Amino acid sequence: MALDIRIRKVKVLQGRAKIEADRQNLKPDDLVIVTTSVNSLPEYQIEKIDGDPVSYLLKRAKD
Amino acid sequence: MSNPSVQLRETILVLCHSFFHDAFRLQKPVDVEKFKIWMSLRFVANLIIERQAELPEGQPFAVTSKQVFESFSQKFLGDNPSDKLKEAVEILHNSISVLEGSAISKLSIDDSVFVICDTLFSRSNYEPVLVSDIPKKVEKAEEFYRKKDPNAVIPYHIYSAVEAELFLRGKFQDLSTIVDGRMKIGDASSQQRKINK
Repeated sequence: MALDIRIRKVKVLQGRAKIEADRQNLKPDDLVIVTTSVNSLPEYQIEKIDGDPVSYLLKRAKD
Repeated sequence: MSNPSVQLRETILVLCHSFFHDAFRLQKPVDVEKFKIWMSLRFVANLIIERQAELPEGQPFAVTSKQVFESFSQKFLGDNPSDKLKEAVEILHNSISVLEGSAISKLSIDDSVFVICDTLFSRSNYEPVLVSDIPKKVEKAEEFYRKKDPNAVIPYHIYSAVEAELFLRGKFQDLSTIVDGRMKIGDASSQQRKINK
């Protein structure tokens, strides 16, 4: 289970989360779900939100 | 000349249980009037998430009480929820500040949001706006205030979904344009999924 999961805008990300967003060629205004898990060091999984966040979350929960 | 002692109040939305149950319902309403309200609630919910996504962590834009959020999440999750459903609730919990405390948790769902609004208004530089689609919310708030003082007035705004949308569109114009754009994309991909099925 993730330590933390929240929606952030790419432009406010820092450090390794920002590096991961850059690796995925995301734009500063993209919204992403940042999942933080800990394996000795925190790890950040970045998932781009397509469309509006409410519809995306509901669709993601149903799939 | 501006008065240096007057501080601009920061807008903060206080969400009642009707907001959650209607904004995050899985099925679109069929009734035209209900659909319009649902669209407004969707807009407000998306704008909250959009704004919170760029604010520093710990600086809330929308708040609610623990009992309001739990009443929503228990119904939303149902029995045996999937991990993705639990994650959706966790993400919402992290986009909206959920307040708890021994004093608040003893209150009813209605009174808990009135107490949050009053505290934010009286004790801080926030301008609380209560978002509720319960028609009798204003009467309930007046009742709440007049228990102690028959002439008391509600010191903050109570907006329906449609009123809240108009207020937020006026206050956050650039953000509203972004939200509109995202909702159009979301709607187009939902239509495409239906065609593909």
